[in-house]
Amino acid sequence: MKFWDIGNEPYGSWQLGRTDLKYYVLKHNEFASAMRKVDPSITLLASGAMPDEMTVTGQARTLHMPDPQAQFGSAADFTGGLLAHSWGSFDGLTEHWYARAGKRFDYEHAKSLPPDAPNEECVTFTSRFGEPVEKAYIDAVQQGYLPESKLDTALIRLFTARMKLGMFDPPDMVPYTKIDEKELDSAEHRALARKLANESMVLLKNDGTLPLKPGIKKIAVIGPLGDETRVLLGNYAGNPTHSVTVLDGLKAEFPNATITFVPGTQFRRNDGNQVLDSMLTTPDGKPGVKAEYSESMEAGRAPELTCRCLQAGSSRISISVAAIYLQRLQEKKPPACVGRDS
Amino acid sequence: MTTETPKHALLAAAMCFACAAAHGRSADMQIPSTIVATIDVQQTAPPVSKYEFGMVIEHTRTLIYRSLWSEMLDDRKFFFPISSREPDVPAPQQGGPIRNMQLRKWRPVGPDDVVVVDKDQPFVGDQSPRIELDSSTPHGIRQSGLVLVKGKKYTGRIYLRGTPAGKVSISLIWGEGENDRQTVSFTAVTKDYKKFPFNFTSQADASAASLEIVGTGIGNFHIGAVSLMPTDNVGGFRPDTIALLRQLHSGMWRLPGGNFASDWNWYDSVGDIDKRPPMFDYAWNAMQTNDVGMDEFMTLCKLIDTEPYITVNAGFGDTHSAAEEVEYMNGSVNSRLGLCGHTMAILSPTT
Repeated sequence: MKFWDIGNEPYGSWQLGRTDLKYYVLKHNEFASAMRKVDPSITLLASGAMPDEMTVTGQARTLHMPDPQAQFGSAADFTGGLLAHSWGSFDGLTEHWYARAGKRFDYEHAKSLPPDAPNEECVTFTSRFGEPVEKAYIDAVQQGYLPESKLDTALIRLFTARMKLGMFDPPDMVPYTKIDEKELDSAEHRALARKLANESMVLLKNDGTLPLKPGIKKIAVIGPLGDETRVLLGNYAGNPTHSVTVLDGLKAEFPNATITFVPGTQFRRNDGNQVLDSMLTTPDGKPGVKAEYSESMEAGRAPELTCRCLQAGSSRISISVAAIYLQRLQEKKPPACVGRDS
Repeated sequence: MTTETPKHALLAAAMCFACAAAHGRSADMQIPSTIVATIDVQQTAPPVSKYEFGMVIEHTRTLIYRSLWSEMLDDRKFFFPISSREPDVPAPQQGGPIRNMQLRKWRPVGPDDVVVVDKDQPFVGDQSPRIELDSSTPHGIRQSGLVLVKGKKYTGRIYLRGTPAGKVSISLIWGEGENDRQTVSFTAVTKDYKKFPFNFTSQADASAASLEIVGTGIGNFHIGAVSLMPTDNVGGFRPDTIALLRQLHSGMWRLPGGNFASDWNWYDSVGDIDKRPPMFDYAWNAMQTNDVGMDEFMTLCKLIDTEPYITVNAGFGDTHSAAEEVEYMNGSVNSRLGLCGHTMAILSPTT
């Protein structure tokens, strides 16, 4: 057997027995020495990782926020570490890249996300449903759903803005590159941003409720995004230094009013209000819901609780209820809590 | 210690320098207005290395056992409890990834309490089922959800021990009718485990067939392990998928993965296939029977005509085990593990 590889993706948080780079290179060298002692003729490969691969898997992003690109020689750079500390203990280096059809890691987008954002959110689609993204537009024009003139108008606006921003010019020619960093986020800029936000707001419908009267006593904010800031940003927004939720804005504007916030649904949140038993009926007509617990250990899934009630139909809720886990562990079942799904 | 020319290291290093050069490109770099390339059609370059294209295979949940290995029974070494209360798993979704398929379960034939997973002197792993017998009602275990092809031959083996006053039989069942089954009876069950081979020929196509192991009489019997494969398997592998994989012309196959490699004890994957203990892999949260081990991997590579490339366990593993793995694969017959390896390679059905 000529080819041997020491370890698999040792940099990955998903790797059983993972150590950091400092100890991994020691481990690698010990393995290499023991294996070559048995057969000096083997071709030994070391398990490295290029920074860009690690960017895709999110390792470097976690280690190097706010700069998600791993730096050579850093703790996230296993390839660099092996070259520096294990030279002579391998004949080759292996690198893992995970090419994903139709998607690519979006560095600029990832920078704006919190370090623990799922990797899936750092991805930009380069194709949808196996087709290039632009195909939908081409089809829409050819099939008469979208007049080409409308597409032209949108593109002219978009590219005019990008040209005005100097995105197609050498940096030296662009005045914005010369703005002193101290000027950023200044009082003047904030005032302008506020003016822009005010003027770009479009009120679609008003039955007379707006603007809210200054003496208003009670305000109910209903909806799961009422206390969130991320939804206030668009897809290509920068990273704001300050943002205000709808709820906080109302509280600031009406300090004397009683403001109640109710998410209404569990969309994007794990908490929720109890639903009265009398509101729910099981499929066989009793008050409440019918719940079934199942554990599919082989598939590596978390235990699942299926709830059925007449009104809501059937919904599957993934749970991580400690009580059930403990109960299963007491039955000496292997815990389904380690692993990586890819 | 002298080693081979580090070709791969040089390649990797070259790649790093290329990256560095790309990063370091400055704005004042001269870009030529015209690029001229000449192709000399008389000049033949050295052939492309066969290692340019390879694959990786890993015990990712059911991936290997569903797609490559011929074993039809799940949990054939009885890792999981056997009870009618164990939840049924849903049928695999059409076109769903093979590696996520769920395992079929053994169910008691008769009341739940006639099947006890006995931890005393297990045949393999931590436990072997013990069946308490009744003089007239058959008691035993059954696994359903097997797919059969009419006229196709199936081969199996079962390890049994029991009290002398018991009769044990195994049936392949493809329908509801009394005659929609084939049964093989074992009369020579003794107090020590013994291997009993059996053969079936299905008389119908079936997508939800069952294998049933039952007994009647006084006392009890134990089932150590059981296997069922289509008789046309090639060294335990599926001839249809092997034929497809050969068409890929891969230069090398990296095995056994993968995250799996980081908690795999290779020692448990060699030797008598029925005596290798099943394990629970925490990388993918799945039970593995250890049926496809080091020697089966070598068989696979021979069948596909590719070169193996072994990953040693540097996760939960240790240097000593890795060194012994090299000895098992590459050692001479004069070394302890080398001798084992050579013996196993000779016993391997495709050598």
